Amino acid sequence: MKNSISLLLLLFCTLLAAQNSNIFYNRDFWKKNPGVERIKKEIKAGNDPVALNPNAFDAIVYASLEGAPLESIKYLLSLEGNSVNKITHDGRSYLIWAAYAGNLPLVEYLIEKGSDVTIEDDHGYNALTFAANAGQQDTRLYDVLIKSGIDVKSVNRSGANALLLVAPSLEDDKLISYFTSKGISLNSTDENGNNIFNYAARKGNTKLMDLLISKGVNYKTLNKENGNAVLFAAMGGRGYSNPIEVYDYLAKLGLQTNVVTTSGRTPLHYVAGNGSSPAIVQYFLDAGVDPKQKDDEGNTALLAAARAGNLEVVKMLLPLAGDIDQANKDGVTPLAYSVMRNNGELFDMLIRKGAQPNLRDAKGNSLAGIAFNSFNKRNAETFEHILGVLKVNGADFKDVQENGNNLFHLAVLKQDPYLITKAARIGISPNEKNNEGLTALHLAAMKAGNPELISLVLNEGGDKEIRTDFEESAYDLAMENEMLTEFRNDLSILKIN
Amino acid sequence: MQKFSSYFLLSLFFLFLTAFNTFPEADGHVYKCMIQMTNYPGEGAYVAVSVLDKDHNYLKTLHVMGDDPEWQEDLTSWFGFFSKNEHPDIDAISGETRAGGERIMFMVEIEDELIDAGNFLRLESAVENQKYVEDEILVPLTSGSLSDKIEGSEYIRYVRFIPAK
Repeated sequence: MKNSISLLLLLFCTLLAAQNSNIFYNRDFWKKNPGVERIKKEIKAGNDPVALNPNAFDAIVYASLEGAPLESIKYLLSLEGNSVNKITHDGRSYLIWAAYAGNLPLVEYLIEKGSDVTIEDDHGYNALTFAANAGQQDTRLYDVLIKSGIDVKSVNRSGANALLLVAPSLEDDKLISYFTSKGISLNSTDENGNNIFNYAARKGNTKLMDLLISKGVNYKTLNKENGNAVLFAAMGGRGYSNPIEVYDYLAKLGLQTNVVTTSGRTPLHYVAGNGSSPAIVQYFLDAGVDPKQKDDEGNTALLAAARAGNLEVVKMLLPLAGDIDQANKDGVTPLAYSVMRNNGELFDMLIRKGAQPNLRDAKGNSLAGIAFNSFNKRNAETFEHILGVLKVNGADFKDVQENGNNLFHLAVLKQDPYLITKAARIGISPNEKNNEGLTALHLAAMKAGNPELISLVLNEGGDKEIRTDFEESAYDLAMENEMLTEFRNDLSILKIN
Repeated sequence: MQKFSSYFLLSLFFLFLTAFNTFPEADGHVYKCMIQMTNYPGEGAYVAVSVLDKDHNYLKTLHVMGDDPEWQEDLTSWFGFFSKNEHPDIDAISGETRAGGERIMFMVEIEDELIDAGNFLRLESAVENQKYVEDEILVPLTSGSLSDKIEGSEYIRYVRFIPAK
């Protein structure tokens, strides 16, 4: 019996390892232009050409993104479990990825094979708007997509069309002429009233901004929230923040640097949290932007910096920002953000400066609860350090958290053996009920993907005789758990004698 | 003293008004609803619990699991109804989500006149990076179905309604 459990566990771990090491999830593999024969070989070796990884990417998505040979992708598409309308990460079809990557032959092939051109991803992008958002410059790509039936005027969920979305990446007016000739107005705006000038500002595209001004685009209009292009420049793009020259450029145009939107946001909210240098934060402070300004979610520049883990900027803002324990509407303080990020350096600095370690967020979570919820075994050392400091400061680890959970419940919800052992070691009971009438053992029976986790909770004192408010035992719950179907024989450990 | 009592009466009056605004239907009943998720892999599910008429038109939103408007939009059919109509406070009837294997309990108010009147109960669900299920549950809204364990089809294993004391 014990042997069969270990055997199953071994099998499970091997499966897990195989899943993690699936060569088709490796971008470098696809960069080497593998042909059909090579792919067949890798499938034989146990790599899955169909399965989605935890972020819902699969072989075809990576192959498309890395420009693998068309023949290879055609072969992958022919396999059972792959089809032209399969939905992947963020709700995207292969066509949307191919358009994003600017892979014209693949786009043509997918459309020919019946790809549904109306599919929108989770943010409302279709293949055309997602290609524009990626900065694709090839008009033939847009020709093909429009011919397939996509409306050139389609917009994402913010109401931004292809012209606005491509603007940050434009070098000249080729695509401006293209899209305006297809019927998009140069003066179109998204639903917040942002025009093409604001979009160009996001990536500090001064060349395009000059061009737009010469074409008569109004660069001074405020959007519906009274925001201007300075605010958009401060936002930056994904993993991109603007240099100081861009802000100087906009200031010289007469745009106000010290701007506050109707929802209370300033450029500082953005630059404090997007990796901009301390010099840029100083630039906005010098321009008179109020570092204490709260937006309508109660966030300040200090909270933005702490959330981003930007130690230098937090240090800069602390003397100016008021209360070190200022919280947003969710009750999250700078210190809580440092715990969420497992950022020991930021945590220590804030504690040294007097931050309160015993505040709870609006849902009732203590910092220990947040530490459990944010646990990552790669940062186990920082996690232990944070718990140690909390302990020294008098934290009561037995305190109940959001939804009536204690730290043992949280450990089980994370399904992490390390946390379960930790919870037991610091004296948390696995037999307290949360607001749903469930003990940690009940939760383990409901959520576990293998019997090992359940037996760990039992070994740490889980009482299998406790029933839920619906009279279910942990055994009943485990028998209903779809992921434990193949382990049913092993669940007898939960039977009440 | 007189000033005090008039304030008192005024607040009593407002209290009275508020009470009747919250429960406009005197014959409504409050139920505790328990949703048990299947142990599916992935993120927490967004779920809309609605009452539909005999032609499957939306009549009332009972509850929404998940309070981020961006993801609520993924509950395609419900959102189509919700976004086109004037609504009472959505925040009051939306809340937490739950992931695979977990369960949740919340209160819903169902007017007696909606039950056993040819209407339907629909639960629709959506999970990030996974499919949207319009008819996770679609059953006649009867006193019988409200006292049974109602089985789901994808992310929900079953739902139970218990009259609140």
